[in-house]
Amino acid sequence: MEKRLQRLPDQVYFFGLLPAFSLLPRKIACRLIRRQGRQIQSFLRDHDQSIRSNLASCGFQAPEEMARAFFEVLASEDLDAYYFRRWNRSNIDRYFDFEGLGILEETIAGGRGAILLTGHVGCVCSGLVAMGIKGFSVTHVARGYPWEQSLPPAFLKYALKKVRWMEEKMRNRLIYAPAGPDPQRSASASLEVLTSLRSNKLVSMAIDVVPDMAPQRETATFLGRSCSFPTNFLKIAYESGAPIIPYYTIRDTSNWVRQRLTLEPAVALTGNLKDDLQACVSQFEQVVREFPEQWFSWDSLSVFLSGDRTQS
Amino acid sequence: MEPMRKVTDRDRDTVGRQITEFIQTEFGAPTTIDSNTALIAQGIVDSIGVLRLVRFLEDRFNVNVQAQDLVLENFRSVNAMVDLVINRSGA
Repeated sequence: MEKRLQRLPDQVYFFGLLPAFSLLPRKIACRLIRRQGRQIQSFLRDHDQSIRSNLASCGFQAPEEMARAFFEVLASEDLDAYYFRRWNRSNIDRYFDFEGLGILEETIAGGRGAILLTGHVGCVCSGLVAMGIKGFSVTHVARGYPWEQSLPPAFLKYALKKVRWMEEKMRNRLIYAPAGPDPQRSASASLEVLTSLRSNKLVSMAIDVVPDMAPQRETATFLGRSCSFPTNFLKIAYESGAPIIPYYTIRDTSNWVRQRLTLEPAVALTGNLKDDLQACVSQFEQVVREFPEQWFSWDSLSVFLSGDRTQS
Repeated sequence: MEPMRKVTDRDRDTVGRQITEFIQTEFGAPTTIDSNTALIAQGIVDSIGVLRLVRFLEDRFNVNVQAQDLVLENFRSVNAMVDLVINRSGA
């Protein structure tokens, strides 16, 4: 879903509209970017249709409204990148509510780092930036290099800038763990993750990574269906002894200016891969059910499916 | 199996044999692998396997694999891991 505009080149959206909006008072910018989101929705009709259809098939009421909010959230996240460099320790609380930062402090005192488990819900990038500004040494595992993903030129240029601005605030580089024909790259990324954990850093990973980018998988029940999810984060936790702490950054859609970063207590791991995966997936599902309009993978739900529905 | 005490260059064969056995048992590696087989490049050890190897080396040979050691070069082959163990043993 990289294309953003119908008549104008994406260059205008990423490098004209977004930076211009970011200079406006925040509430006006939010209003304009939401309108932009609705324009994206009208342009990306196929995506819009599959989002509505998947929301409806999972039993959500008012899928039309949710799909509209989905695109508003999507565009709002695009805009966030232009705020990263302006956020700092003295103003971050104006834009974020934090819940559970004490969990991170306790974890760091434990000295084994932590795997911060999230999903493509809400504003992952903003949350990472906010944690960095709050003084936590955090990095994120990205599945694939942006420059290898055949992105449209304007989107690629924007993505690379966004990564650079994130890394400035996080004071850490992202870890790239691309799946693919060269096993040395993913092995190297694993060692990089272990190095970070042993340096007591927080390593963020997403649970809802598509099979092409994370082929080692196991099934779990998600939204009443048998779906496949990656297992690497669990195996890394087993090998490193690092705890898994779920976290989510959700946009407050009542005012659109504020976001809430929530950290949950560490997952009680049993050592049984399937059970532990289900525990993590169930927790993620709760967030998706609570904020369905903020999960960015609705249009690719089918790629997670591993079989027939397991529950009605 | 008890962890080995300080490992020296004289233990090279023993260490290499134990690492090879671990790789064959845990990763189903063919018996034909030798001390210079490219374990990761050939897909014998994957991204999680390399982490298991780190833990195995630390537990079995009582060494502390440091952050700067956690690079692919040190896990490419049995020989590379033997060098790592000898260098880190007693360090």
